[in-house]
Amino acid sequence: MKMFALLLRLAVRNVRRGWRHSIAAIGTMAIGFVALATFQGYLSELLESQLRMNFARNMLGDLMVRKPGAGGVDARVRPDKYWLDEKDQAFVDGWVKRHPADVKAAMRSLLVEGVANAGPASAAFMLFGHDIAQGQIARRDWQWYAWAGRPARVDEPNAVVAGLGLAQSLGCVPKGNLQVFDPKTAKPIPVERPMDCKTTTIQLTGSSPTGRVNALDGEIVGLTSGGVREFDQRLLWGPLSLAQDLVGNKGVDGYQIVLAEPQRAPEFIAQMAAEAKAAGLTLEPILWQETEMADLFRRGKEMLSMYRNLVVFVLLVIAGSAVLTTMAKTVRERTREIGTLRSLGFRKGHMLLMFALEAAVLALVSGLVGLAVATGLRFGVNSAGITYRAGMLAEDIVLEIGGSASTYLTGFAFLTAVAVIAGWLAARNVVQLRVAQALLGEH
Amino acid sequence: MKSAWAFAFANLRRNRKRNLATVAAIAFGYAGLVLLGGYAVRIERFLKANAVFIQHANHVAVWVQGGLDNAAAEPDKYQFDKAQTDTILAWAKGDKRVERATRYLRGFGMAGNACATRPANLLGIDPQEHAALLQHPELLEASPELARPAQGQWAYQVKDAPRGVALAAGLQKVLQKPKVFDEVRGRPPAPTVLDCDTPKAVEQLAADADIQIVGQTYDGTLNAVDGQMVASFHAAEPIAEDTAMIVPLASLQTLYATERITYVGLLLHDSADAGQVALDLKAALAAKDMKTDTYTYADQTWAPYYVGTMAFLGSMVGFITMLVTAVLVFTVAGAMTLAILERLREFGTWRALGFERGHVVGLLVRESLLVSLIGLAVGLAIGLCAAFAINSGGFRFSPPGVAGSIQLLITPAVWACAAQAMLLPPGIMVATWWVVRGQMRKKPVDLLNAATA
Repeated sequence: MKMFALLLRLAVRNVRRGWRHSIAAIGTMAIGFVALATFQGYLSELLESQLRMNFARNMLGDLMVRKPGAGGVDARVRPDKYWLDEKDQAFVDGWVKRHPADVKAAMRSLLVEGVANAGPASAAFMLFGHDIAQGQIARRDWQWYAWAGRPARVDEPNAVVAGLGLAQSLGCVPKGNLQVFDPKTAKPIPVERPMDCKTTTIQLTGSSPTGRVNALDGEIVGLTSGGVREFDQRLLWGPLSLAQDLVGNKGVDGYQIVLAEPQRAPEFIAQMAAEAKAAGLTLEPILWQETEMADLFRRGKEMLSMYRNLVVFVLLVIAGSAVLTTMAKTVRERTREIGTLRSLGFRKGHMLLMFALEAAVLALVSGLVGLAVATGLRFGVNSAGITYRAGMLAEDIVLEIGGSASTYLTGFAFLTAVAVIAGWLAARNVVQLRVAQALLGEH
Repeated sequence: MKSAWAFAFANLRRNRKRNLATVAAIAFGYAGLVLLGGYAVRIERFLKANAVFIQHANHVAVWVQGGLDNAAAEPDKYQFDKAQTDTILAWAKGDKRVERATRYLRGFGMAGNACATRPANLLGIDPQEHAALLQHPELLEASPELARPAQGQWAYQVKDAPRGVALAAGLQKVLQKPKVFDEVRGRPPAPTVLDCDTPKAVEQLAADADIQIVGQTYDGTLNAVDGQMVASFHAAEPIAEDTAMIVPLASLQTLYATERITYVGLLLHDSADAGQVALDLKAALAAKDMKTDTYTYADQTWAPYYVGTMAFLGSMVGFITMLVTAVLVFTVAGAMTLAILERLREFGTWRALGFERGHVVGLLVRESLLVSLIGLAVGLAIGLCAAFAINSGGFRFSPPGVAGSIQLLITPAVWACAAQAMLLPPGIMVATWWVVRGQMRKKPVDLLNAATA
């Protein structure tokens, strides 16, 4: 430890003495740190913000409860086989009651597909029937989700909110060009905006598991956006009872459970699975991210990770080269110093460690400079309110750069590792010289 | 300074290790940009082909004015009748920029297997016109797998199935029709009445490839047509996997009891003409009292996935290019700084011999330019080799929004490589100039006595 402390002092002193020579390496590494931290911060913020928004807009729970296999092809052919019956629902309701402090909302949902008619117009729909009151909680900070009209209320058994694409097919559009989004929150302003509809009453036709066709009236009270364009053309949100009447069954697809502490979801999943098994029920508590519904999100995440890995690789090679150049010169100039230290009793390993520490100190200084620049850049960009479009998403995204301790520490760790390796590579040949050669400055 | 370039090149060899490290940094940085640019080019070609040929956006599309928003709700009012369609086709035939015109009818119906029905989004297209799209060289070059069905053959390839329809793979599974027409040809058909509520139904449904399509005519009457499932395919959008269906145009017109079509798509010899063709077509039709909306494949409204994704990808590539360029400029500036500090006495000697400041600055700027050019050349070679290796590896990946997977291909384009290459040398030269001119302000005697040399 004493030797390490001594070598560290020497390393710091040497970096201070030769700061002019090191400025370019510090600059390169600092820029590399800024690039890594900014890019990683942008990607992580993009993914997290999209996940948060997805959870809020689609009322996704921190954990879901459904039947095993509910995401498979068979479930699309015979969805009724995978519904939670009244016994299953009683179990989940009981579990929720036993965890009043842990559960903020437990929303049941049932997806029904069918045909909507409004006069001569008809279109396919996907009705997400759900508990309206619990759904309001599950929407978190997206409780006003209507682009035009208003959200459905608890006391409206036939009220539906239609996706803009579906509504248009049925002759219902937002009226006028009123501003929908609050520029500060990037969410709809909670005010009822007018709609222009040929008729707000639509006939919904669905069929029961036994093939019986049911038809009910729905009342369009609001228009919303499905987020993704293709989804927008079929989306309907409505009360659970409406969906159940359409299929003539009291079953539900599952529960979306919003937790007071979302990070405890895995714990509750394990607990509920064990209790369900003990009760003789086949239920699958699961995270949304692990279901087939998260396929698009997972693919997007993989794609962005690919970009990030390429950028990280390129930046680390460049930064490593910069440090190598600086350290190689430094080491060559200090051959006699190395010889002197060796003659005083320092070993080759001590010399290598000293230069590695110098590189690490350079990385530390670069990291601090980079952190200051990255923080400033982050605040600048986040305050600018820049928006952009991204692929399949229907609305603009606000450009934001995240910044977490782990992001900065990871960037710093990468750069330090590269710098230390570069320092070691630069020093190893010179350190191998015999003491006499080193004292004479021979290579 | 006739031999300034030769002098600069000779100076590079004086500190090979450092210059090699700098060249390596530039080479790896540029190679990374070549790969990234090549990936973006590949994705752009794929998405463009997907949008134009598979999502049927074509290069230009013409609708009745307001039809894109309203045709589904009011098909009689917002779709072209026969006379209007003929007018458009005649204009397209007379315009040398247009390669071909394709008629489309879009609508909604229910696809049934005699036991159950499912909502289906129907696209009516003439099988021969569909063939021309699927066999187009631009599509085959971008992604031949897009042109092939997942199972079976397209309608134009199956001569003895005049009402051949193609189902999206998800819809095929939901209707429990695992076999296409070619696989059941010649076999006994399923019973007229199926045992739908028994396990026998699965076997019975699989016995043939018959599909019933139910819909409403434009005057509100229920109607139905039969079809034979000749192919299944992966829909261009994942959410359409359970609903998309391609039907012969004539069959769909029979279903809706109409001669109307929803829009006409135009393929051009050169997609760069799309904007002008769209304007010219709209004006020509307006002169004939036809109010229309024309869209190109680059319109956000018409091809949102292609336009949106390319905007995002372009931003990402641009951002990364700027990052890497900035880092490289700093790296070279650093290397040049060290070189300058080492050679201050040399510069002092030159100044003492009568060389001007500008000569010295010019020499060093030449050196930095040579380093960057060598680095770019090496980087291009590394990038192209890496691209070749990746393309030969047959790696597949699943980008968002694409059903199934596609091969990872890197297709560096000359314009992209050149654009990225043009960013580096100016930045490096400016950085070098900035560093060296500061030192050249010193007097020759100070340079000669420099302690850092």
